[in-house]
Amino acid sequence: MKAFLNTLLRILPHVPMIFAVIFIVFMILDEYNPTMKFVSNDISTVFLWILCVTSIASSVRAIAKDRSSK
Amino acid sequence: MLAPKKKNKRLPIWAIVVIDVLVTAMILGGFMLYYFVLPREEEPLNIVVSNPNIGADAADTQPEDTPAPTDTDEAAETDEVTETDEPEEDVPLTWAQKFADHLTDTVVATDTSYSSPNISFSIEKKTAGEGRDTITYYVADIYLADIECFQTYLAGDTYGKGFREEVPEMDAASGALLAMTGDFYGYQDEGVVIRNGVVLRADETDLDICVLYYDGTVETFSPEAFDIDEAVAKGAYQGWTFGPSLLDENGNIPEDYNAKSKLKENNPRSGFGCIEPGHYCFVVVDGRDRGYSRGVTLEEYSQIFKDLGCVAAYNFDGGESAVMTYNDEWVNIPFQDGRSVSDIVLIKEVGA
Repeated sequence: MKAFLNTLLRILPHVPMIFAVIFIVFMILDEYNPTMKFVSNDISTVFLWILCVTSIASSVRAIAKDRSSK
Repeated sequence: MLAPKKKNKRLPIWAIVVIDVLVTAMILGGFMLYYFVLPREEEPLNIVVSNPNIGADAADTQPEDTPAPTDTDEAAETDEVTETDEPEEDVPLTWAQKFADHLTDTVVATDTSYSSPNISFSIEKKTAGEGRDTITYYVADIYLADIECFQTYLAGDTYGKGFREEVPEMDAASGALLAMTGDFYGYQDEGVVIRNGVVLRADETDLDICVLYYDGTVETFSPEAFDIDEAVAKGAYQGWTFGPSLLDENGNIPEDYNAKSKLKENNPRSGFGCIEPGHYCFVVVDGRDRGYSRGVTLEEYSQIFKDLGCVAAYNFDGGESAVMTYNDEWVNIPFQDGRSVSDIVLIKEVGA
């Protein structure tokens, strides 16, 4: 269980980074072809949730780690 | 003796970067594949809009006998009065009578024109400007005796997402005489899709909407002004969501367009305009090929329709999608040989 948690924590910072890059791609594509709704379709909305939740989790962990190291 | 400390092996930075890039590409690829490429049928609304100009028992009437649009029902109700008071002068002409100069008793087809008792169109190549500023576009001037000669066709003859075909393929499959790219409804989740008198989708959208009614009139709407119930009640025959509208309600070039700035720049374009009920034009502009045709801005595109005498005009999918075909072959020279799209607008003989 601890190993699994450790793996999750190691993956955690990569997730918001990956989804942020995906959204940058979507926003560029959306600029050229807004009718395709790259940013606002159903799947993108799920991606946005993942980005938000993992960003918060990653930030909380970074802040906690920073405080405990002082 | 102390046991050797277990070392926590870490991946090198380059490996982490490669893995992150690969995962990003996989997610993006999976999304594109599922959302835009793999065909999947969708449940249409299937609201059938009846033609208010044709009685239920007159469905098999030959197009030449089609009662005149709009005011005919009213005229029929007051038939006796009009006959005694003001004879035939007030009876509106049918389209066949109105466009008799353009229609022919037999089918006459050339490389650039077609005429029959129901349909007449001629395709003209036009150029403007010179050198790197040259614009090349194709205008199909269309007269119809029956609105049902103006049809639409969906790729794979199926309503859904991801169904795509080249315009010449759909031209052949639908039996069209003349075809042009439509609004690429299959790339959108929202908006209005009305095809050949059936409402397939009627969701809110932030794009302009265009409706062709059974009486032959064309109306364009801003997203907030559109009401599907009203459109159905008025006899909506075709409905598209792409745009923007190219002319305002007075037939003038609008001050601004409901489109992002990138879409207003020079581009290959396809669109259609209504000169009067029964008289339409398809206009495809080639582009992205300096010296042959640079494409047009939305404002220039509006000007083309205004110069043609249109009272309403609407922009369809452009870029590589901008394709017009006659007899299953390209009329224009599409950028990068065109691409497969999800629907077309077409002219065909009724019952063909």
